Amino acid sequence: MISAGGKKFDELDPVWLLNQYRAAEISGAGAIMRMSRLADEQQLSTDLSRHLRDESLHAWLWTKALDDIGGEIISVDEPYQTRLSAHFGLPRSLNDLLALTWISECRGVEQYQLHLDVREVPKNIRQTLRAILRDEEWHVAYIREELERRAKSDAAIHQTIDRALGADAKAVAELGRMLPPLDQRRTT
Amino acid sequence: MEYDSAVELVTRLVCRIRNVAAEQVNTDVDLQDVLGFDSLDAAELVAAIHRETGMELAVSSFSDLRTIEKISRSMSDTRVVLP
Repeated sequence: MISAGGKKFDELDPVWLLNQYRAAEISGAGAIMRMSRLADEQQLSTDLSRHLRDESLHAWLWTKALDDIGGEIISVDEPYQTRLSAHFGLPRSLNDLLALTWISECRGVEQYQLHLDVREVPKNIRQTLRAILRDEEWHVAYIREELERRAKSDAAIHQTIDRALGADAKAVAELGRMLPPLDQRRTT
Repeated sequence: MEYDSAVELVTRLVCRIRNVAAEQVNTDVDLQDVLGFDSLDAAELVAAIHRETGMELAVSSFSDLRTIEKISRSMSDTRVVLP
């Protein structure tokens, strides 16, 4: 059993998983909103604004998916991003935030793709996953391009990305102890 | 950086992040307990200071950023290292 939002959940409960997705998108929106205020170039500002729209929309889509199955919205105290930040330490620059966001988006794509590969995923969840994945792949691509562009004038970005990768490994190891393999999860 | 300039800058950034007027903010107000600063607010503040001054604050955690006074002291003690 997993404790979340003051309740106990079967670790195979889809309500728990969809709440994790919802919380991750909301947390992502908070981070992107702040980064959009720090953006130092027009193209990055434009991309982050579009990204902010996507995160908000994804949070709504998971909220709706939960509602459709009669699932309760619960508070998720430590979504993936919280654990990632805890292991990385306080970000000190826009480059730090971009690196963390890129790693986080890569994880999002991986998780959603894994879920999509499960045969018994209900049609409405599958449609939501497909729609969100298209956006997530763009997020990964534009942030990677931005990091590569910045690395031309600041090689230290490679070290920042390595630090973020190290933090990601620790965060995923922690979540891995909570999350069963996707193909063992019950679907609605 | 001069302490007074640091106070001015940090106050402006805190007000922007929390959407409050400068008159509502004192240098000794607790950013977390009174203004509701969370870890993302702290990250934005540190990154904004970096963007505006080139300064990387020697803070290791969220709790190092309790007041404008403390942050400004840290800035006035920090030497800017240009890339």
